[in-house]
Amino acid sequence: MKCINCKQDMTEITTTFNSKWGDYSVTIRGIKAYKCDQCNELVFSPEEVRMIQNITAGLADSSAQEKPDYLNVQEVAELLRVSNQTVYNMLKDGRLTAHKFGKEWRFSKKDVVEAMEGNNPVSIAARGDKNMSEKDKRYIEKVMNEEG
Amino acid sequence: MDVYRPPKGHAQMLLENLSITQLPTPVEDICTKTNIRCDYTTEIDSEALIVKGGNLKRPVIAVKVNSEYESRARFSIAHELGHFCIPSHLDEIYQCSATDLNTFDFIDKKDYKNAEKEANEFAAELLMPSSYVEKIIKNHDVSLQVIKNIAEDCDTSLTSTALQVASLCSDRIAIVFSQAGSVKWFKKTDSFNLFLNCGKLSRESVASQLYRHASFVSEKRGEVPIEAWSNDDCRYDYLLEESLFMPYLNSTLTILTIPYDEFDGEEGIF
Repeated sequence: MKCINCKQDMTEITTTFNSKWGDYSVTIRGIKAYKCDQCNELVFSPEEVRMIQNITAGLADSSAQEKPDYLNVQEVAELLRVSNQTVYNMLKDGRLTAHKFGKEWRFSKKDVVEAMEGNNPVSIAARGDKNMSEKDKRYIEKVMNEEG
Repeated sequence: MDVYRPPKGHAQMLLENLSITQLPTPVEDICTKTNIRCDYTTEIDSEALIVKGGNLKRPVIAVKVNSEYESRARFSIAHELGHFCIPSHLDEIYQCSATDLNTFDFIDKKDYKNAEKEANEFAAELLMPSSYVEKIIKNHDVSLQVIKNIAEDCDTSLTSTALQVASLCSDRIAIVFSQAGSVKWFKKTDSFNLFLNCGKLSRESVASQLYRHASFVSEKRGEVPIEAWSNDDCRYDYLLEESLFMPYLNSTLTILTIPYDEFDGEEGIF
């Protein structure tokens, strides 16, 4: 597997995942991940991410107020277990979308989760050619549903 | 340890791994054997695309239906297989336009796309293995007839065959593709040491004559003055030109050959 940032080889490791939401925190041990030998970027498999998200979402269910629909950079970084800089990089190269209010970026949690699930053709396409036609997009969506 | 392989190396490895030696290369069988779904469709704008990311059960190659020109579809599939097989092609989706599928040695390199050029090199090798083409051109001088024979054996277009021949040939030849009376692109062998003119075809060239009188003759061979193709000040008096008009593309495919003379091989004489 190659790193999406620096294209170097990634090594499979077992790591510990810490997540917190409001006053609560949870630690999950034995998570399989890929670490870049060059830049230390950490990547989880979609299955692991889904499991982490389910646990984190369950934790966040403790209070509706503690589970906002819109997240700031710090919260997205915590959700994805990456640095703030990586969030900015993902925003810049189109892997994440956000709106700017004054000096602050706000991310839709739904969009972040969809982007991480990797099934959203728009987010996938955004990593490549950004000028995808509606016709191509519809076709890709169709085959992803058929083959997904 | 992983070693770098050029695109053609990946094509050779694929043919070897699947024990494919027959011609024309069975591209659809390759898709089946590598668990790739292959769709011929009218539902896309791109000429061809591959979706290989996300959590797909199997990658999908889609080729726009173009009943007029079947060998183009074979080249499109081979091109998308290139995006699948070349390890550095990390994107999960590659949408390829007609221009991408013609990205070889363009005169205008502003839109040069490396991944597309690599996929084209892969496709050329997959459909026209160099071991086969080299064997043919070793025994025959490059001509339109030789290119037609190879294209027929490999079920490829004349244009892509001519490019593959030029990339493997050591003779002093250039392949020129003109459309609507103007040079679109050319590919020269290393030993073809003339600078070729771009833009509108010279009226002295055979290609221009064919374009102007296309309804009468579609193929012609002849000696043309150097000025028909180049402004270089050189010792050669003429070039051998063989041109073929392709009405369905409103284009002309030309092979230019620099003739050998008594000064060949003498150092410092150009």
